[in-house]
Amino acid sequence: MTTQAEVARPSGVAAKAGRRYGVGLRGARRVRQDADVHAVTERRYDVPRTRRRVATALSAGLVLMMALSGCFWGDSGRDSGGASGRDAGAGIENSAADGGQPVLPALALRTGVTRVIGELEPAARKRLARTVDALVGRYLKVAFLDPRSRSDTSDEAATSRFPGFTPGARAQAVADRRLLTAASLRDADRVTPVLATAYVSVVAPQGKPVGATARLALDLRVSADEGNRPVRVRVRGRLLLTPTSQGWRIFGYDLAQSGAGPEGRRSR
Amino acid sequence: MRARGRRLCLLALVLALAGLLMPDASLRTPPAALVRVDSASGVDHPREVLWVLALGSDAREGQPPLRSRADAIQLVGLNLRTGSGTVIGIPRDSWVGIPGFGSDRINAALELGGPQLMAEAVAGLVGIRPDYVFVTTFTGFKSLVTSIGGVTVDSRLAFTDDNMVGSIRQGWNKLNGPQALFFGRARHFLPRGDFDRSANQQELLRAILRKVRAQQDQPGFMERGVLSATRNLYTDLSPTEIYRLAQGATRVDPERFHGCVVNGSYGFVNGASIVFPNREQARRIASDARADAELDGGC
Repeated sequence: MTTQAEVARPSGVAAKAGRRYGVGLRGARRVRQDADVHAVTERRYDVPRTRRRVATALSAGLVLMMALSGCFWGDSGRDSGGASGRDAGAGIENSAADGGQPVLPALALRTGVTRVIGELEPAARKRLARTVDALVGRYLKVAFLDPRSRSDTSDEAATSRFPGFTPGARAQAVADRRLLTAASLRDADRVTPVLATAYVSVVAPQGKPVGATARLALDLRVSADEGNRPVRVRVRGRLLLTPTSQGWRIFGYDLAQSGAGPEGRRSR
Repeated sequence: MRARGRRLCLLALVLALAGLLMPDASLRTPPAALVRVDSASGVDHPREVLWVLALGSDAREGQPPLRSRADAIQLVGLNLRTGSGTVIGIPRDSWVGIPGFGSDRINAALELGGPQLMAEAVAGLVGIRPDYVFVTTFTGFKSLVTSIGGVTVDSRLAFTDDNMVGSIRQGWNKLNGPQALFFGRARHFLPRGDFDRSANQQELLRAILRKVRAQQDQPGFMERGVLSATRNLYTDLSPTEIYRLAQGATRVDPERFHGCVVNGSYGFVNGASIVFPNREQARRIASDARADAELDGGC
């Protein structure tokens, strides 16, 4: 039986007269020779409904508490733009309370490894889920919820908006920051996350995760001053992740951002 | 007259009520919307422009794919930054110098020295050294096309073949694995023989790219493809490298993936039919596309 397809990487070192091509398959590892077997092991994991309900209830409770605290305790120091009250308590204002480092709001990011292509132990799956939660959560907070992502959109500042990105991905993301951060929301007084999910498909040959795709859905309620109706901004797409020597990193992205217009009574 | 006045009064009342009772437009959710969606994508790969030598080995069952003749030879350039691509087709019977073996048909290089020698032979003709060599067999190619649910090609010609079973109509053809293999191999009834066949192989590559890109948003699709590759590829790349390479390659837009076939003239050497490739054209195309995988000057 023969292997049906091959990829060889020239292994020579670039030299002045041109690279020397070592035998591309030197040291090659024959993983499997049966090309007729294309079936792959795939497991799907739904986010447990009860857990979702509990999470939803907790989120709702938390949001309600924060909203009430905002109403009762006021927010005079921050709300210079004329917006009244604090919507859901999760929004942050354009000017930081202490004029320095703003406190980023808690982001109720829902993550989970929903598809395992290959084999992955439950413990490893949970570890990966925690890693993605931290990685994606930090990016979303810094890129979309930190007021500085709207107030300072310079090249220099933008390089700090992509924590957890590989250097090459960060360089490209800086160029695409209008869509990968809240840079286009300069006039917003308040940006409040109303939906944040990142569900992960991971490929794990021989029990080792080698790459993953996080499907991202982020909805932001964006409020301007002077009583204008808030608008909903949606970010959708994929974040591509891979393990590196520094741990898991985002090495690619494919994201779309859209404004869905004013929020209506029935809009979701 | 009086009836008309009553109707006008009724209309005025309805309008007034509507104005009072209907919520202001700004408070309602509009029943339709037209919004702008902007998107951005990027993939970090050690190389911004990749050149991959894609070979179709004619190894039959039991023969080593790396030491058989190459039936299809396509040098593929991918610009992972801009999403553009170029593919340079080389007729398999091109008569070229093969380092250490004198002159021979270019497809003999794979048999004589494996992927490395094949890469050197192509570099000698075109002037671009590939970063990767990808080799697949007939069976592997059919499996690849089958695994993505078939492809749809836009054929310039209608044709059949006297050596193989299959037929292609002009325009769009939806092909399964075996039909796609026929599209990429048939040449006997093509007006320009091997040159047209090479162009068809480029259309196949474009069709595969179209299909993969159309499905890459499906959860698990890319991961399934990568796992299949790690299981069925004979490779010295790590699975992580394959994953990053696959994600990078699909950045290329099929509409910006242009191809040229190296032209030439038919001739005979020792009684065997061969192609004398147009080296000047090959070098010009390569010079144009080498740095950015874009064909600014055409073929």
